[in-house]
Amino acid sequence: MTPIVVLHDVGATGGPWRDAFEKWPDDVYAPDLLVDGASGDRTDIVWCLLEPMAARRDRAPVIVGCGEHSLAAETFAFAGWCGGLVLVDGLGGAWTTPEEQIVEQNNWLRAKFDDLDHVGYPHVWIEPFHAAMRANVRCPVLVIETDASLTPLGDAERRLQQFAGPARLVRLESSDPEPVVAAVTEWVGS
Amino acid sequence: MIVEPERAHFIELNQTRLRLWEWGDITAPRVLFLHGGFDHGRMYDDLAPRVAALGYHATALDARGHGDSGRLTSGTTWNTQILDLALLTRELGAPLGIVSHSMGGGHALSLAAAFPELVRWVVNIDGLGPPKEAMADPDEPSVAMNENLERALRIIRRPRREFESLEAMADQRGKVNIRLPREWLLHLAEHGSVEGPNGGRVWKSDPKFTVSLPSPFGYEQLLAQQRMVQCPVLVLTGDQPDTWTEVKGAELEKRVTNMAKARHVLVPGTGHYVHIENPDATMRAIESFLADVGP
Repeated sequence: MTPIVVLHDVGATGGPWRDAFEKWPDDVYAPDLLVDGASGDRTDIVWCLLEPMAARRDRAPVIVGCGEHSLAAETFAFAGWCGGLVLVDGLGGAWTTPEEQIVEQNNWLRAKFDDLDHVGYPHVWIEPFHAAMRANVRCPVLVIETDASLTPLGDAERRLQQFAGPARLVRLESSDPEPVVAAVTEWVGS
Repeated sequence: MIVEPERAHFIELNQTRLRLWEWGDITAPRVLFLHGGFDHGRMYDDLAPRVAALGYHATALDARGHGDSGRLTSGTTWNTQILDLALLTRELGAPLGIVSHSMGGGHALSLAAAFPELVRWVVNIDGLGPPKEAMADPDEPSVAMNENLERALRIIRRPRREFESLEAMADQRGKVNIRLPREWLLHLAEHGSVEGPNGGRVWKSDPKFTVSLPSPFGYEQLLAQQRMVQCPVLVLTGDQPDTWTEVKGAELEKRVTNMAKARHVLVPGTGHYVHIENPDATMRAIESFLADVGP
């Protein structure tokens, strides 16, 4: 099989993913990511994952990115460190203009200024940035979308075409670990 | 002339510890000095006391990841450093004036855009951001990203390079900052380094700072952010070829006029470190600016 690395969404933990992947026939790494947007940068957690990913890199792990932490998963796929990429409600929200991006970033800073325990990231998704990155993701990609996704209705199919590698879209009723693990198992097996 | 700070202390905020260096009357209006990347607050050991002598309480910061201040938790620091500044500014007594250089200039403008109520005015010394082409994607993006991740791994795994002496550190800086006088290269090395495990010297600046991960902040975002700056801004640049002085001519004027209340003064005969290379001309420009905008 292949190793699995899971990056849970903001506000969640890795525990339910470790449980759900309990029967996976290879190494599973689903840590508790404690940063929860502390720096306001979605790639911050890449630093936490450098050593675990380096240790598994030669075995072409599948990396699963959930929600806001999908960009970190995409970063490793972008750099060619993965054998597969799974995005769970991870295609991003409605595209923002540069002006909207700065307003959102400033709003995030002001929210943290008022409450340092504020979690999450600025609501920023820049189409040219994501398109350029995805155009260099050459590994197979599984996109799992649910009703909770921030991606505008009907846009997931179009965003799927941004990836250089073969990409498949699966719609699930829930982004809970169990149905996602079933979809990942089926996809890897195929 | 290099003048030792009159006071030095730390402040704890945003889950880190920041070093502050101070000159002047503590009851006078506060001016905060922000240094550039790889530098530290002691690079203002000439300019800060000069500004203090005008009747200000000059406070120079070692930014997170630099000098004596706390280390970085990751390489993605910009928002964290801006939050540091907002919280620090509130502690020091906002609104206040800011003198800033290079990366510190970007910090000052980001702060002013996000928290206009905290910033009275900004002096920006060659800190309007990198040239447009430097913010474009590399030719081989995946290769570049792999190299960035490999570099990040090396930083985590390997001990820092240890130099045999301050002179060797100054030599290294001198190859990059080709216009900095030897006296300043040694000064920046002395206060920007600590003793290493083998009796040599290692730089204090956190090497994580040098790693770039994917970020949606580009040229258009830079302009959008600077457009939001509403306080008075004095931009000082030199006219000599130097490292990190690539924004010039029409592009420089575009960025200056992009801000509502910005003015630009060219300080002839200087490169990137305008205030170190010609402190007298720098002070004349600052005094003239402050005469217009007030304390």
